[in-house]
Amino acid sequence: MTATTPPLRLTGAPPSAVPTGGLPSDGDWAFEPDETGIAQEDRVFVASPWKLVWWKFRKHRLAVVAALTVIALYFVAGFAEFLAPYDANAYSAALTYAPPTTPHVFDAEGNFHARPFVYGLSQTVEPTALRRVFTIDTSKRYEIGLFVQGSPYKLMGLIPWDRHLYGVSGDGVILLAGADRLGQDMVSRVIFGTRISMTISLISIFVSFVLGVILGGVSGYYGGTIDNAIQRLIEVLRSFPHIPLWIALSAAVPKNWSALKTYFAILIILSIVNWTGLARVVRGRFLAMREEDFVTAARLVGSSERRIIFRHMLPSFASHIIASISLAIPGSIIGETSLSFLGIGLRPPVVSWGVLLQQAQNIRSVSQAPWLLLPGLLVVVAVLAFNFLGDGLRDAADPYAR
Amino acid sequence: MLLPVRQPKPSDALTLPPDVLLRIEDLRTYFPLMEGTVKAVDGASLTLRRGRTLAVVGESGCGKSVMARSVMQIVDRPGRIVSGRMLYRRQAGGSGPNGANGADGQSGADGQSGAAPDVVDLATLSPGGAEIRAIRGEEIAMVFQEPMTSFSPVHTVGSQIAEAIRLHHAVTKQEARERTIDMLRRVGMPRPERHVDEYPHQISGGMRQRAMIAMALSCSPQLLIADEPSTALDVTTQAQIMELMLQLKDEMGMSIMLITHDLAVVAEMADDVAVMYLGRVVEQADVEALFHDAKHPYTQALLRSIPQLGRPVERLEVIRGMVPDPYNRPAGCTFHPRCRFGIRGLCNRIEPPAVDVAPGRQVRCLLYGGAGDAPDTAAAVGARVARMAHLQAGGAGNGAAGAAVGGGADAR
Amino acid sequence: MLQYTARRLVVLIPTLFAISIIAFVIIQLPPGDYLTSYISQLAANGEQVDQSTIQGLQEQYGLNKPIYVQYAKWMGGLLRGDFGYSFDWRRPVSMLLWNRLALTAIIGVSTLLLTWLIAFPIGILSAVRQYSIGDYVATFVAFIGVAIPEFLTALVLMWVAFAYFNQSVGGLFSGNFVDAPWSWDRVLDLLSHLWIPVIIIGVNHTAGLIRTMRANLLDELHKPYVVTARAKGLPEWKVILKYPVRVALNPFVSTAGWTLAGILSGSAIVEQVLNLPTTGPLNLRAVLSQDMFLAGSIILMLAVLTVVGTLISDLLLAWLDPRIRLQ
Repeated sequence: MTATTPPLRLTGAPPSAVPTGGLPSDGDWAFEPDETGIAQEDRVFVASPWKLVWWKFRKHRLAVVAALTVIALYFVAGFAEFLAPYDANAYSAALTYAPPTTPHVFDAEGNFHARPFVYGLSQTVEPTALRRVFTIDTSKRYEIGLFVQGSPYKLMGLIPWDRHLYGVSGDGVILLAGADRLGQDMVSRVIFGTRISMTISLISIFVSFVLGVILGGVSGYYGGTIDNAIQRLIEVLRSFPHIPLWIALSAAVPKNWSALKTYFAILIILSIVNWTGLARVVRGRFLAMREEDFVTAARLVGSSERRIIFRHMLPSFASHIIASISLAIPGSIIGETSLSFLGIGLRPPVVSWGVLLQQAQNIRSVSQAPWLLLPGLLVVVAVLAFNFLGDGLRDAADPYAR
Repeated sequence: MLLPVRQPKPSDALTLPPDVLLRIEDLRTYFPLMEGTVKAVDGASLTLRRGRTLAVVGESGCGKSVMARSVMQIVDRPGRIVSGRMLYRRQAGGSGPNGANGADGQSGADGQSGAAPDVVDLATLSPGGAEIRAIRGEEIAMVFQEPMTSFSPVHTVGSQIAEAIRLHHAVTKQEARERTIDMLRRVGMPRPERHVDEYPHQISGGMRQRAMIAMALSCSPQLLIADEPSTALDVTTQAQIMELMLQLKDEMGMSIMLITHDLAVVAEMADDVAVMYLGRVVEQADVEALFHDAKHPYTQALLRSIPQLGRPVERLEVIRGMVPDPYNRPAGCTFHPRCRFGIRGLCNRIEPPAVDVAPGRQVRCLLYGGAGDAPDTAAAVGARVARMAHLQAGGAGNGAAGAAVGGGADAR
Repeated sequence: MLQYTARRLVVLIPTLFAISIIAFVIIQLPPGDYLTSYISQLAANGEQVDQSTIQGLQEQYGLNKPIYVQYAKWMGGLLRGDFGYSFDWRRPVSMLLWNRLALTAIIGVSTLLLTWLIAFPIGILSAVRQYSIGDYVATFVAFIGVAIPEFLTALVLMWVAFAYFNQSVGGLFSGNFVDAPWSWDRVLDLLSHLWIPVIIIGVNHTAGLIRTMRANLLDELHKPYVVTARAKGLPEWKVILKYPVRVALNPFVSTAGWTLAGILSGSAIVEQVLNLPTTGPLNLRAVLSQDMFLAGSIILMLAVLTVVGTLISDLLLAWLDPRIRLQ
């Protein structure tokens, strides 16, 4: 069942209105059909397709969790300055590879403190290996506060503010996930990295999507030579392994470009490859839909091509497209991360998950400071979330299918 | 429980009257799904006699296909036979045309011991076990609705037929191929030597269904289950396929269980008819009796919903309401919400037992028994029976006036 | 079948042509012409620039001619096996390319075979026993596997090996075999190193393939022809393996080319992390030093590898599926 029938068809008469012509007389029946519980199904028959998609999606627990995760990630991206205790590029040479400072409620003597706190860190140089070693200094306690005053920033680039979600008082530092080579707080770095990685993937998929819908739509709707040419182009582009192609394309990005320019250049490079997948989906849908009765019907009553495409066809596969977008974003995230990781994508001082992972290229650093892999965890979480979300959406996209 | 009920007692030995090939007793096949349990077959009983064609009719979703598959133990997951018996008489050893017996060694060594053919309860056999596999294809074969998709698209037609032969008979590849060609010729396929090496998509729908019949009959089964064999075909081909099945049935001395929703096909093909509604056989009768003297209100309604020659009516009757949601079926008689003779307080409470109304004829309806004998119950049943009789007579007698007029008069 | 093969081969020609154009565009990508940057690079190193060499190179690649002439010259060279000159290595590209490309191909193909070997049975079991605990575990592991980028797997593995086992994972040959000529011992040495990148890249793709196999098979398992096979009296395992699995293999085989492309893509970065003597690190270095003949050639050859893989998978599919062969 393709079940791409537009909503209007489903709002037919409720079952109880089945004509009863030729029967003795209705008063003669001992039972009303409603008693079978048939009438309760009406809710499904009159609901709008989006409502049906939502009902079906809601049943997919994992997809709902994934959706919440994605929302949370974008929330972090939007409010990075507020959520991060420190500036993206604030550093402290004294804190190179400092270990995480764990919050406590019981101090070393076993006394309970209502407000959690962290201990101070002190650093000694190991005489033999000349390695710096951090020890926890239990003589210093720094209480963790919420909405603490810190470096000033502009929230969403508009509202000047200086409060941060959490922080410690005085000259203490709070490093919930340790520090990197420059003594930068990993939590803050990852939070700012989330902003870049989540937006670049989203925007690049949006660009791919526009390209994909236009080319895939043209290909699927008109068919013939145009279709053939576009299909060949997609085939050729897909025969290039993505990452080597991305690497080669990044050769075109001059090293002296500003961070913003590089950001858009990388974004375009990602899109050049990614549109093909979406175009295939759109084309497939168009091809299937061209044969649908309701499209033929629309054509027969004289609807314009524009109207057929935008009023009849697009709405009936919009949900599929959204699902495909969600499934395409992980590729884009991994693309950005890989390029930046190799040092040919985004470059410091821009902070993205891939840029952060560059430090993890050195295995010695990783073994000294495993928390350098934290951005990798975020990559996995984001990719998983988009995959589960896309899966749930894809299942829900066809609300009429059983 | 109630009066003339035929409840199989657990102590019943595995015996069948000599003319009976298969008797299904109170079969229940359920599909436990996340949304709830679908009781596809829920207490179906019927009897199939040797050499006869039994048609199982009912609306789509009434469980007729699932019942047919239950007989062969090929119900799709998660479907499962929950209870009931399916007594089946094994084929006598060496009944095949070539005298080959159950073949592949592991199968039914006990069944072929030379004594009288055994009766087995198919419901107790494990779906993957050797015994049911020796029966499948060899003794009971099946023809399916969709000739297009019932053949594997990536194997030749011939190889799929020969596979069945080689599975049950100790023959060489070459012999199996020859028998396949022979069989294809018997089902009326032109140039079988060529078609045998073709793929399903290369031959027409009608030919594919012929090949399907050839595959089913390749091991000379004693029971052929045909699950809507002609539904997917055009009308002319339909008639040819039906004709072919009847002809081969006589030639090979088989019995046929014909699953269909088409009453015209029933009238043409069947000797006996079982009418199914929501997983139960509500009425079984021979074809004459059923068409001329339907007992169950559902059967009556079903017959009124098809046009009849010589009885012009202005509009055909439809059965009121829809087939109920499979997850929660009505209590009591499952037909009661749609029944024009339903009795409040009885039909929605009491599950009607099978009542023998004549030899070889059962009905499951409280109007024929099972309602109990309290005075007011008897009165209510009596009134309905009278009305039904009146309606039947009026409908038949008024001819052109049709059921509507007769019914209207009755209501006053 | 012959006719089909011929048709596929003919279709291949425009595809290869398009690929060569894209590779050529990549060569031309960096701003300025590469000879100029080469000369300035040499000058910056304080080296003498030999005018006659420059003229020779200019002549050879038609650098002062229009772009289509440059393409024609480059293409003509390709057909003769001349991939251009690597200014970074100061050697013809073809001298650098073949060994590394062969190793990349070996990694790619072994990974493909390994992923199939693992994904088939698990995918089949997962589909046949849908919603069983095993199915849930396989699905979960598959999701995780897809979500972890290959380079991260490589990093974690290297870290674990280094920090907890004090082993360094990487390379494809032990020290004494790096530059040795091919011999049986060198092959064995290669194999003893090969499994690490193969498994790292494989994890990711196996996971995806398990899900594909499961989905394909679930689509097929309830098709009428399976019931037909069962109704013949075939044993259940034979029903499954001979019919639905066989049909479910087709989309698998038909996408083998793309799977190979995906594997080569992931392997590019794993090769870098593990520092393998393959095309990945070579490509990266070429791009970083704007050594574009080399970078373009690598991209070109990787694409050709994929196209050949697709061709093989198409032919295999036609052999498996009469509907395609006989259309």
